[in-house]
Amino acid sequence: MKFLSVFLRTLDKINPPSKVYAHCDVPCGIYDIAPAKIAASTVAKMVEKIEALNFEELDKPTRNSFVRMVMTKEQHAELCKRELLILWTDFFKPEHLAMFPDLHDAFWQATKLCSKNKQGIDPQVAQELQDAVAKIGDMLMEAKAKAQK
Amino acid sequence: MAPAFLKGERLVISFLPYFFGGPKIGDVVVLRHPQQKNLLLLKRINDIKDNKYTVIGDNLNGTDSRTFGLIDRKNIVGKFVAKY
Repeated sequence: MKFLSVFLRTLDKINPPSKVYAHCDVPCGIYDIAPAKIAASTVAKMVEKIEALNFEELDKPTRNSFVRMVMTKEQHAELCKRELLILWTDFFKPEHLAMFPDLHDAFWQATKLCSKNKQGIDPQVAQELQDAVAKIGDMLMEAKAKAQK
Repeated sequence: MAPAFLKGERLVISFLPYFFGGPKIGDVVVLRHPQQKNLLLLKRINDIKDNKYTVIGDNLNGTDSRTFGLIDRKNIVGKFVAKY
């Protein structure tokens, strides 16, 4: 049996075996900032559109648009928070703290900004969320680049 | 799949056992992820119905039929035979 093991391991040196995975995260190790970025941009766009509404004439179509815009803003702020939490809890590991000492703070601030964008309609806060997501995106790219070296 | 299978272990996987009969409940098999054909997974067959296989990992925090659904026979690459 030991001879067989040595023989198979020697063969592996010539023709390396395929890797199989017993565990994988959904969606199997694919971590990307894009969904959070799109959600944050949608929040900013909704804020912009709400600001552009004419509240002097609150006719039915305008009210309908207003409700839909607020709803979309709410949904995408929640989506953004969820996407950020996936990156925070599933992708980033304790060793990344050495690379990014402010990692936890960056996520904490960004997810808090998601809530803040739900609470109000403020272009400045929407921009802050986009900036916070972009910063996390840079961290993600840097961490991925290091892992590939 | 710990503790039965640990990271880095080398396994012999063969399709030969399935020439004489299909996969059975309890078999440990290597399969292709239904949505990512290049991803090979090691799972245990939990149930078979109408030629569709339910595969589950030994540890319930993994990705298996609870997330990607039932798999076809064609997705099964082979049966675990031995470690070396």
